[in-house]
Order: sequence, then structure tokens, then C-alpha cells
Amino acid sequence: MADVATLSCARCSKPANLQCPKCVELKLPREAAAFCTQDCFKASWSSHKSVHLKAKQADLGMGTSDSEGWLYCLKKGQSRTPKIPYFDWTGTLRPYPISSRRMVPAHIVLPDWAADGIPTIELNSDLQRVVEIKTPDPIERMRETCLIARKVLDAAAHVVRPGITTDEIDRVVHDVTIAAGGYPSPLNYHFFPKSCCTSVNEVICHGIPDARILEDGDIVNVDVTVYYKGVHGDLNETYFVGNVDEESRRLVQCTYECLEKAISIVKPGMRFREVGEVVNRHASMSGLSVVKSICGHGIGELFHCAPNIPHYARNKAVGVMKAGQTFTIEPMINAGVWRDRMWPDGWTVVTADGQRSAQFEHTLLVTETGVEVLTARLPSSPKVFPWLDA
Amino acid sequence: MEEEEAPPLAVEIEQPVEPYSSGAKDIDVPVGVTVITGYLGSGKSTLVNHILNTQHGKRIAVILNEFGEEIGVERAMINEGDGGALVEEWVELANGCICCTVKHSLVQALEQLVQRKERLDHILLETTGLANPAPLASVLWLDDQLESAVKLDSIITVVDAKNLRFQLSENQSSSSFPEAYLQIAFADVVILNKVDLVSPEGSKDFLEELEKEIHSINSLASIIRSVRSQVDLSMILDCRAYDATHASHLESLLEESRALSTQDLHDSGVRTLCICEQQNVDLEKVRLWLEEILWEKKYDMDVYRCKGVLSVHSSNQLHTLQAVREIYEIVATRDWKKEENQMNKIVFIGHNLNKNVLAESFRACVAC
Repeated sequence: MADVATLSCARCSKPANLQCPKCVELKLPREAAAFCTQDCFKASWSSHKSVHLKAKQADLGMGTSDSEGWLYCLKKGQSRTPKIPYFDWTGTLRPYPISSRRMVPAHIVLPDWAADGIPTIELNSDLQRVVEIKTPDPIERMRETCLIARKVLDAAAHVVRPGITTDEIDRVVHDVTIAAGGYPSPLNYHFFPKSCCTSVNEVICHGIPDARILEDGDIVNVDVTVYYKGVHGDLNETYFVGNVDEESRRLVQCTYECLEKAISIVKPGMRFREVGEVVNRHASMSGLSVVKSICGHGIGELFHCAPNIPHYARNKAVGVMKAGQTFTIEPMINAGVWRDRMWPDGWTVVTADGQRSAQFEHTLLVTETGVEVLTARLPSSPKVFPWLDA
Repeated sequence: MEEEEAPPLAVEIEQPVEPYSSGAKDIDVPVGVTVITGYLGSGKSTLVNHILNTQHGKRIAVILNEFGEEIGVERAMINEGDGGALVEEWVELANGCICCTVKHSLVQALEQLVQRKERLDHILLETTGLANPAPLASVLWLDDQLESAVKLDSIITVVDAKNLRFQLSENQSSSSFPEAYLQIAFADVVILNKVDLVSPEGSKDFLEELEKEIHSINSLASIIRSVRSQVDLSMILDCRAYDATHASHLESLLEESRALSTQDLHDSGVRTLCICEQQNVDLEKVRLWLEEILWEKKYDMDVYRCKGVLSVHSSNQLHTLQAVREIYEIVATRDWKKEENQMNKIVFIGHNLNKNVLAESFRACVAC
């Protein structure tokens, strides 16, 4: 936690333990907002309040910012700010400004949140409580959509390398999705500002593509969901950027195996809670920990619906798998502790100790005899996993 | 957009509050959460005020649940300890992508509250107009693995001794019950309030009859009589009703003399029934048996709550079973004591329960 004693009054530089409430509300940097007494605050008020005005202008896009509208994300995507927000960062990664919203051509069929940020249909659906058994028609549509999602992710994998920004990865995901006739589901989902999630190093998931340049030695997860023909397909993979250290290679490979082992038990009659037992067993054996806050989810006409599938052991998940169900399994595995924190942007989940985290995800269909991996790798998928391509 | 107003009051710098996190502060002992239900006029609000205003040395937050999730905030009143004034706090419900998070936004909000306050001994969740506390219980009954800062402690319902009979006999369709039945069925503690308003002359018998009726619906609940909701706090806080290892629950279930099955006294069919089996059972068979009842709704029974002890084949550990609607867990808690009669005993509270069917199907779980 930051040492409060080191903050000094913005006016007289004495030690400060008061702050401007407006700056707190707007999540502006503390250094400019700290004061030693109400009197110093009062005296600075007329010049200090211009900080709020600048932040509000940035919000409305009237920016005085000189980086062509690239701003930091706040409030889950509902606002922007020109200055990096205050946070006691758990690792060395920092947020970077994000680009302006990408356009979607008129012929693309949109989910309801594209317009107002709120997945109204999803929030009110019965499918939040009941797991759907799909009929052949939606299943066939899901096969198509998941194939597109796989190709979109592969296109992203092709461009991952030191020197590229996560924003450029997002542009590839966005453009390839649109070219295939689909909508990138994350875009404006609960106001998420971009078309995919890019999670670097200590970011567990839901990282927002931004201006940061990937460095040699990074690991990066790209999470893609495509909405096409009325259904969603969701998958993610963690990639190496250039040459990564041995610890990172082991982390990523183990995570891949956790997903593989979990998928191998999927069949009618298997309890959902068993997924957590399998993932936890394999991760623990390698001395790694399992993220507990985020779980796998049902998917289909809705982006997220029942069932909830935790990845940790001894969970009370309700229900057994049945043929015709479609859901994701997406274990997040950490090199250090399992606990997580959230950045001020309201989306980015990071490890509490700043150590690295990896993830893999597939959309699965339960069949009469077992499972069909709808987002499976193709022969054309880039060969980026050393343990797969001997 | 010039701001002409005078500067606002500067606030003390405090640790940043995150809308969501699992572990910004180390919590040794989770704070208990008690859900309080009851009809308007039962004395529920009086109970809450009594808890907030009595000098008991405990720091308690009451969440008033007035607005529900649409508005995105809940109002909390906290007594700041001995002689302190009541402090009003707003708890923000994390809106947004809750769909792939394990913890419901209400839980996250309660955890935030615990992290914000220096010391919080207990949280009360006062529900308004809630017929069925089960969804709330499911949300609050977290997996131990999550090491949450909050823990479901018990569900308490306040009933009005003067009006309960009437409330129980209210006209109902075949598929729904008056709220009173559900509130009693899901309660761990029933506060029988306004006993002073019951006419003195036959009151002893009258109250005993009422308690029998309450127990006929839910024979596991403990009943506390009260006047103007004055209840000894130690009897309603720290119940640990959802703690698998908590001793007093095991003891009450093992007590052989207590007849837990009740006759069907009402048309409602909401009642308690108990099945026993002397022989050791196969744990996997028991799981499948229970899941068929709770998840597949086999036999068409509607189970609200379930509590039991199991004597498991090839284990010298006593196992406890607990369920709220479809959520259940079976946990090995301790070794059987030498003097204990190792047997299986399971109590069901629900509707359309059939003792024979349950007893026979459970017998099939006996280890071969």
C-alpha cells in the first residue's frame, strides 16, 4: 500500500493527509490533490479546480490531450482520463492509453449491448438459472461461429511479436472478425472499450488493448469472442513474445495441460464441480495456484449464462453435464498466489503479488459419448506451442 | 462549465477502495452475515433497531436492502461501537460483468464494507418483502475455498405471535404458499415476537401450540420468544448454521430421543421429515441419491433445506450433509466418538415429501 506520509501538500509542500473529494471521485492522481489543511485547500481552490475541468473535457472528448485522443480507461470503460490513475500496482506492468472506439459497418448484426453497453436480454434471461440443451440448429451455428472465432484468434497469434502493441492485436481481431461478417462480442459489453482482451504477464484476464509495446520475454493472452448468426464462440490462448524464461514456459504449458485434462473428463453425467478438482490437481502438482474469482460459463445465444464452472477444488457447483450443452472451460493459473486485484479501469484483473498468470480457453459441446471442442486448433493454426509441435 | 461554488470539504486520505478484489486485506476470521426476514409489522425493524442501539460492545452493520439491485447501491447503518452514533454508509453494488465472476455483486459489496471499516463484528441483511430467502442464501453460502471476508451465519425470521395463525392459513393456490411458510422453512432461528400481545389467560398453551406449529414446518429451527423484539444478541449472532464442522448442529441431529418427523398439520404440505439408517453407506451412492432429489427433482419432491449426519463405509469420520435448495455439500468433519451410535440421520424440510420413498431409496445407498 502507498505510504501516505510521503504525500505533500500541493500548495505548501508540508506533509499532507487530506485530499480533494472531487479528485477522489474522478480518480485523478493523488499528488496534485493532496493538502495539509482545509485552509491550504481553500487557498488553492481556484487554481486547483481546473484539474477537474480538464478531466471532464477529456471525458467529453473535447481533449486538450496532444496524443490524438488516446486516453486512460476508467469506470469499466464509461470514462477516460489523460493522466495515469493512482493505484498501488502489484507488478511492473502499467496501463497505457487506449485508442478511440473502432467502428462496426452497418451490415453486421449487433448484440443488444453494442448500442447502450448493457446486455439487457442476457441479464433478464432464464438461461442464467437453467442450463440449455441445444437442438441441432443452434449447435450447427455454434460450430460455424466457433470456427470463425478460431480463425480470428489464429490471425492475432500470427502478429504477436516484440515491438507490436496490444492495440494493434486488437485491430487485427476487430478487422478479421468484421471481414468474416461477425461482431466482436467484447466490444461495448458492459462498456468494455475494445474488441478482445489482451492480458500481459501479471494480468490474469480482461486486459484492455492499449498503446503498450510488447517486449521480448513477455507472455500475452488474447481472448476472442465472436457473435455470428445469433450465437457466440469464445476462446483464448497465451503466447510467448520472443524468448521467454523457463518459469514462464512451464507456467504456460501447465495451464494448457490443465485445460486439456479438464476437457478429457467432459461427458454426459459428469458433475460440473469435477472440473475444478481436475484443474486444481494438475496445477498444484506443478506448484502453481488456481484463480478462484472467475469461472467458465455457459454460452450460446448469450455470451455468458448458466452453468458457472469454477476452476478450484471443493466447490459446490450445481448440476451434471448433458448432451447438447455448450460451455467454456478457461482455467487461469498463477505462478505465485491465487488472489487477485482489480485495476482502476474496472476491468483488468491482476495477480495480487505481481507474478505471472496464464490462461487457455475453449468452447465445448457435450455429445452423447463425450465432448466436441468447437474452437479446436486447425492444421493451419500457427505453431507457437513447442510442446505441441515436436 | 465554470465551477463558481466554494471549495468542498477536503477528506482524509484513506486506502484506495477497490470495487472488486479478492484479498486487498488479510482477513483472519470472516465476518458473519445474518439474513433477517419477516412480515411487515412482525417486529423485524424493531429487532434491527434494538441490535443497532443496544450497548453490547459489538460493531454491527445493517444492510437495509431497500433498493434492490436496480439502483446499484444499498444503504448500510453501522453503530460505531460503545456509545457511538449511527453512521450511514453506502455500499455500491458492482454492476457489470458479474456473469463469469464467482461472487455475486452483493457479496463483493459486503466484502468491500468489511475492508473499509476498521473492525466489523457482524453484518445483518434486513430483507424487505422477501418471501423466499433461498436465493439470498445461495448467493451468501460461499465455498470455503474462496476464503471470503464474509460468511453466511444464519437466516432468522421474525414472526408475530398474535397474527401467525392467520398468516399461515391465508388462502393459497396449490403451487404457492403464504410467505410465512417459506420464511419459517428456511429459518435457522425463529423469533416469536409480541408474546405479550397474546391474551394472558391461555397464553402458555397458546404459545406452546404456536411453537408446535412452527416446529411442524421446520423442526430444526430454534424458537426464541420475545417482547418488542428484545432478544439476547448472543442467541442470534454467531450461529454458524452453515459451518459444516459446527458442534451444536451435529449434537442436535445425533440426539436420538428427539422426534424430528412431524405430521402434516396443514394443507400446505410444508413439513419436516427425518429418515434414519443404521448401516454404513457408500458415499458416492449417497451423492447420486441426493442429486437425483435436489437436481433432477426425482419423486417430485420440493426440498427447501436438508441437514444430516452420515456414517460412511470404510471411514471412521462422521460426515455432515447440508443443503439449501440445489446447493449441497457433504464434508467429513471429525472422528466418531467411541460412545456414539454410528448411524445415518437426515432431516428434510420441504413440500410433497414422502417418508417411505426417501427411506427406501436411501436404503439403497447402504454399502454392500
